[in-house]
Amino acid sequence: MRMESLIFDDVSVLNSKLMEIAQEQQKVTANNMANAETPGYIRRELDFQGRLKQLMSEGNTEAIGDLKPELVLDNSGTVRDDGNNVTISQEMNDMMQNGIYFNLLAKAFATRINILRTAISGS
Amino acid sequence: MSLNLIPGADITSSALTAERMRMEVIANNIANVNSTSGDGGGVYQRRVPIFDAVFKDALGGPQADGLAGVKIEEIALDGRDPLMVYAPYHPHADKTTGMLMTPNISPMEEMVDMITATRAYEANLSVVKQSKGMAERTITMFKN
Repeated sequence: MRMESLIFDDVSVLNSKLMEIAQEQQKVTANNMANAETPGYIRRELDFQGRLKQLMSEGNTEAIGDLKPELVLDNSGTVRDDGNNVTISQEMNDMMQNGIYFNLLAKAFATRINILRTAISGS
Repeated sequence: MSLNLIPGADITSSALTAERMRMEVIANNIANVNSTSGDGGGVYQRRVPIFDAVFKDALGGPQADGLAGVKIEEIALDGRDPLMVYAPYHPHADKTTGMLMTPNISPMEEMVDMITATRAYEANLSVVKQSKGMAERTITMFKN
């Protein structure tokens, strides 16, 4: 279904997939933040980097487009008395980084479109 | 079922609702710090909100689509013993011993809970602000 395309080439597919993942990450962070005081709640995070790295080295663009990040439990932090291991400052930090990352990806995508636009219009 | 243009908006709004409800419970506890009757016929018992994580059942396993934030499962009675005060003049005091049951509510404890609730509310507000920014950034992406 995915054809060789001027606009939807390898880089663009990767770019838009990363943006999609950044949005999913925002959802996961929102859920961690929402449950920062819930007893027994363990923070969640997204796992996709291993698979993405492998697909990139294989050059499998179509599979990258179909990649879905997996939601996993993160047991690494200290668990407080109420069984919760979410720290608000950590989530805020992750959220800020993710936001900048998303803006960067959006800018990269826009730049690519602009290059095409310039090439098409000739100026 | 609504369009979720802003990622995680439902999740964050569930948190804001839960924290607001917690503030109301705290306000009620503080308001009733001297209530010796009226609560099921007896002295006022401190209320505690019980938070619970919410997950939707999603097809296809562990996806972020299954996350649904938090909700207050119930507003439970605290269950600690009331403070006994010697007040024989009080109409609700025990006739023989003169002891009066008063609510075992510490304003300090309620204040700490209130600060926690406020901080959590503000944190969730900044999350939804960022989510909104991401959605807007997507729309204006091609405007360069």
